Amino acid sequence: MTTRKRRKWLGASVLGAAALLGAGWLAWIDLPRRISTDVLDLLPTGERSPELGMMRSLASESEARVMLFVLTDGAGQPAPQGAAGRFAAELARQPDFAGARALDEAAPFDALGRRLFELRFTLLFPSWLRERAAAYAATGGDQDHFADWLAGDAAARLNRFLGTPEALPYQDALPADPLLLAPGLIERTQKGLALLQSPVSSAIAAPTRVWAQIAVSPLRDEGQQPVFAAIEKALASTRRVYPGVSIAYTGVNRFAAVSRARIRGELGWLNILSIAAVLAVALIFIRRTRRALHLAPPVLLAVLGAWVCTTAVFERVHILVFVVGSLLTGVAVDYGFYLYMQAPGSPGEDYWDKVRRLKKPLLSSCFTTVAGFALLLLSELPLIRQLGLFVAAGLLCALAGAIVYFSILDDAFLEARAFSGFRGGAPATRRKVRVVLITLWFATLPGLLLVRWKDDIRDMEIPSPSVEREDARIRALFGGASVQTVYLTHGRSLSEARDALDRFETWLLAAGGGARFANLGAIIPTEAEHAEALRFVRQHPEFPARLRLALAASGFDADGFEPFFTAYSSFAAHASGADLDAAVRSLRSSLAGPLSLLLHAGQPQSWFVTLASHAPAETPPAATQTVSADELQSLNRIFGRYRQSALQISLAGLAIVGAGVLITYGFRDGARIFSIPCGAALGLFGLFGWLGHPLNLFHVLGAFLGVCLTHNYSIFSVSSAYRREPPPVSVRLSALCAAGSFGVLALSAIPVVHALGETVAMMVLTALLAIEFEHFAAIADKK
Amino acid sequence: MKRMLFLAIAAILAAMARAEETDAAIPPGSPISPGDPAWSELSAGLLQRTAVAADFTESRFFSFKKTPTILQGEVRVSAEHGLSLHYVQPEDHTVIIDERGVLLRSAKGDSIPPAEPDAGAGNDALLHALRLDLGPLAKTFGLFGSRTGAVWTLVLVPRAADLRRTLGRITVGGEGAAVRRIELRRSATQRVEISVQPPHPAAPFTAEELRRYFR
Repeated sequence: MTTRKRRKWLGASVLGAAALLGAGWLAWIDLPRRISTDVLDLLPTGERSPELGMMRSLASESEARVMLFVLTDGAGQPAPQGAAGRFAAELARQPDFAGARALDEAAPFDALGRRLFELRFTLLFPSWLRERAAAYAATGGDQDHFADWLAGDAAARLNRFLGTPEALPYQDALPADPLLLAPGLIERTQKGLALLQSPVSSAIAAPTRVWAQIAVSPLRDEGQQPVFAAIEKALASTRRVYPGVSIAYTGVNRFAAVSRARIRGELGWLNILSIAAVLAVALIFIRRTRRALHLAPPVLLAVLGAWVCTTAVFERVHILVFVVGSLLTGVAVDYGFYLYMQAPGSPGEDYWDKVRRLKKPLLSSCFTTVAGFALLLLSELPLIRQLGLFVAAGLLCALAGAIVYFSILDDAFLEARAFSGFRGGAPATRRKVRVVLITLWFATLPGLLLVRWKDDIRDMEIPSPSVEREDARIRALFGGASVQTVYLTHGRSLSEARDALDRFETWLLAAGGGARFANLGAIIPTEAEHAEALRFVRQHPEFPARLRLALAASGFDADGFEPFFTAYSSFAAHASGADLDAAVRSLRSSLAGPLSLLLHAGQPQSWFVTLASHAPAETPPAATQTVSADELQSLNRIFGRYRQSALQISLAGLAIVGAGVLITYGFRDGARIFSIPCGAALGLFGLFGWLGHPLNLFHVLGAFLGVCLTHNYSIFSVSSAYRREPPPVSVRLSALCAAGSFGVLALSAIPVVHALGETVAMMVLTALLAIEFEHFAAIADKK
Repeated sequence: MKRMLFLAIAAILAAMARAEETDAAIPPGSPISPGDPAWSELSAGLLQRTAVAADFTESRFFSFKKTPTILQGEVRVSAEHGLSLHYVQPEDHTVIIDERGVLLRSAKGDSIPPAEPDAGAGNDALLHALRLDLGPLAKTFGLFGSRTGAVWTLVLVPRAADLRRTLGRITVGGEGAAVRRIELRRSATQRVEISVQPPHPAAPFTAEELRRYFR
C-alpha cells in the first residue's frame, strides 16, 4: 500500500469512527428528553438573583400549573354547578392533575373556614391585640390598666357590632368570639375583598368554572398532550351525567404546546429551505455540481460534532440552540469551500502541501472564531452558553472534518464557473461605487445613537393570537382581567417573609396613590405579634374575669360566652412560641385552590403573595424583600440584563478575534482585515437605529456571529490580495450561502430567530460588497 | 384567579359564621296557595304602589344579650329597584337588597357581603314577600297566612331543613296595601323584628333618592 493510500485509509477510518461514535452517542442518550422547549430553561438554574429563582419556582411549581375551565351547556349557557363538581372530581382523579375544584363548591372552603376559626387565638388574636394596644396607647393610659380598658373596650365594640349588618349572619359564632376576631379579619380584609371582587361576581348568570392544577410542569411534554387527553377523559365521564356539556379552557400548557408544535415545524422547513438555498448558490457557482456533494460530509460531521458536544456537556439543551445552530452549516461549509475550491498552487500539488499552504488563513479564521464563540461559555444565560459551545465545537469539527475528508478524495479540487465581468465594471466605476458605499457607511453611524433596545421574552415564542384571545376570554370570566399588580415578599423563613411583608405594607401605604391590597398578612401575624400575645395572656390572667364583668355591665349574659372563655383558658394554658409555625403550616395545608398560591412555605425561600391595585410605579425598596411578580416584566428586565452581558462578552470576543488578526497579519493589514467585520456591524446597527428598528439580545448574538463569518471572508480574501488575485470564488460562494441560509432564518415567525437571521444575512452581504469593491486593493498594491 | 380568591375568602368567612341548628315554632295561620284569590287581591294592591317609604324600628334579639339591640331608620321599597333599609340609629348605613343580591353602603363605601346561598334565599324571599308574590315563594317556602279585615299576616317556612335551620321563619304582616311588620325568627332568643310605621305620602323616588338608597 502506498503512503497516499495509507493516508486515505487512515483518514476514512478516522472519519468513519468519529461518525459512528457520534451517532452511537446520540442513539444512546434519550435525545427527545434532553431537548427542551421550556422558556424557563433559557434562564440559569443557579440564578444569582433570588427574585428570579423565586419567580422560576413560582412559575414552574404553582401558578404555571394552573388551568382554568369554563363549562357551558348545549345552549351555550353556564352549565349546572353539578357538572362543574363532577368534572372537577373526574379531573382530580386523573394522575396528571394534582387537584381540581369547582369554583363555587363550598365544602373545601367551609373546612378551611372552620380551621381558621379553630386557630383564631394563634392567628387572629395577636393582630387584634396589637390594634387594641395601639388604640389604648393613643388614649395615653398606663399599662397597669390595659386589661381593664381592653375588657371594657371589647364589650363596647361587641355592642356596637350588634347594630351592624354583619351581626346577623355572624350571631351564631359570637358566643365563641366576643372579641370579634373573625369580623375583625373581615374588616381588615374589606378593602382587599373589594379589590378582589370583579364585576362578574354580582352577575345573575355567573359562569360555571373549575380551577385545576396539573401535576407536572406545563412546559414539559408530560404536562401537555397527556394532560389534554386526561381532560377529554374527564369531560367524557361528565357528559355521561350531564349530556351536552362542553368546556373551554386555558393554561400555560396550551401556549407551550402550540409553540412547541410551531417551533418543530419551523425547525423542519427552515432546514429544508436553508439546504435549498445553499444548493441553489452552489449550482450557480460550481461547474460540476455532483462533485459539490463532497462539501456535505464535513458539514454533516460539524453538525454531528456540535450535537454530541452540546448534549455531552448540557443535561438539557433548548431547541432554539438547534434552530439557530442549524445555521452552523452556513459557517461550517466555509472551510470546505476554501479547501476544496482552491486550485493547486502548482501542477500535481500534493493535498497536504495545499493544506500547509492554506493553513494560516484556515487556522487563524477558525481559531479566532472558535475563541470568540468559546467566550460565550462565560455567559450566565444557558442559551448563549449552549450556542457558544454548539458553534465552537461544530467549527472545530468542521475544520478537522474538512481537512481529513478532502484528503481521502482522489481529486481535492472543485472548479468554479468562470463569470466574465463579475468584478462589477471598470476600475473607475468600482471606485465610484466604493465612494458611495463609504459615504453610506458614514451616514449610518449617527444612527448608532438612535438604537433602541427592546427585550421581550415573548419574542422567544411564536405568537398564537387565537390561543391568546381564548385565554383572555376565559381569564376575564375568572376575574383575572382587572389591572392589578402582584407582588412577592420573600424571606429565608416564613417568619422573615412575614416581617418583610409588614415593611412592604408600610411602604405600599406610604407610597400614596391609594393602593389597595390583599394578602394573607391579615390572617398570619408576625412572630413578634404572636410573642406579644403570649406575653399578654401570661401577664394578665385576670383578663377573662374582667371581660365577664364588662360584658355583664353592657347588658350581655356573660355565661352565654362560655365557649369563648373555655377556648381562651386552653390557649392561655398551652400556647407556646412554636404554635405559630405549626398553625401557619396547618392553615397552608388547608388552603385550597387559588388561595394556595398566596403563601409558599419552603426552602430556600418562603413568600407571601400580595395583590394590589393602584400600586405605585416605583419598585419596592430592597428592605421590603419584595418584587413585582409581573412575570413578563421581570423576565424582560432580566433578558435586558442578559443582553448587556452578551454585548460585553461579544465585545470581549471581538477583541480576541481582533487581537488574533493583528498578531497574525500585523497592525496595518490586520486593521484593514478587521475593519470589514467591525464596519459591517456598526453600519448595520446604525441603519437599524435610523430605521427605528428595536434591537434585542439576538441582534447582538447575530452581529457576533456575523463578525466571525465576515472575518473569515476578510482573511481568505486578503490571502488572495497578497497574490494580487481577486477574492477567491469560495468567499463569494460562502458569503452567498450564508446570506441565503441566514436570510431563510429571517423568514421565521419566531421574532428572535428572525432578528438573528436578518442581522447575519445583512452583515454578510455588506461585507461581500466591501470585498468585491476592492477593499483590499491597497494591500495588493503594497506587495 | 382574583375572582376565585374573592369567592374563596367570602366562603371562608361565611363558613366561620355558619349557624348551628335552630328551631322554628309552629307557624300561625292556615296554609295558603299561590293562586288564592284573597291574597291575589292584596298582592295587586301592593304592586300598584311602585314606590313606598316609611320609618321603621328594628329590634334584634340575641341569645347572649338580655335586651334587644334597637335600630331605627327608613325603609324604601321600589318595584323596580328592590328594598332599601337606611339605618340612621345607632349608625348610619344602608342595606340594599335587589335582584343582584345584597349591597352594604356606609360612609366607607359600598361592599358586598360574603356570598351565602341561604342568605340569598332569604333576600329573595323578602323581596317577593313585600310584593306578596306568592308563586316564586311557594317553590322554596311553605306559605301560611291569616286575614282579619284589612290586617293580614304571611308566614314563610323554608321547606328544606338546612334552610329552615339557618334562615328560620319569615313573617310579614300588614294592613291593606301597607307592610307594617317583618319578623325573621330563628328561635325565641334569636330573632329580628322590624316594625314599620305608616308609609310616607305616596310619591315616586327622586333621582337623588334612587342614587343614595338603591344601586
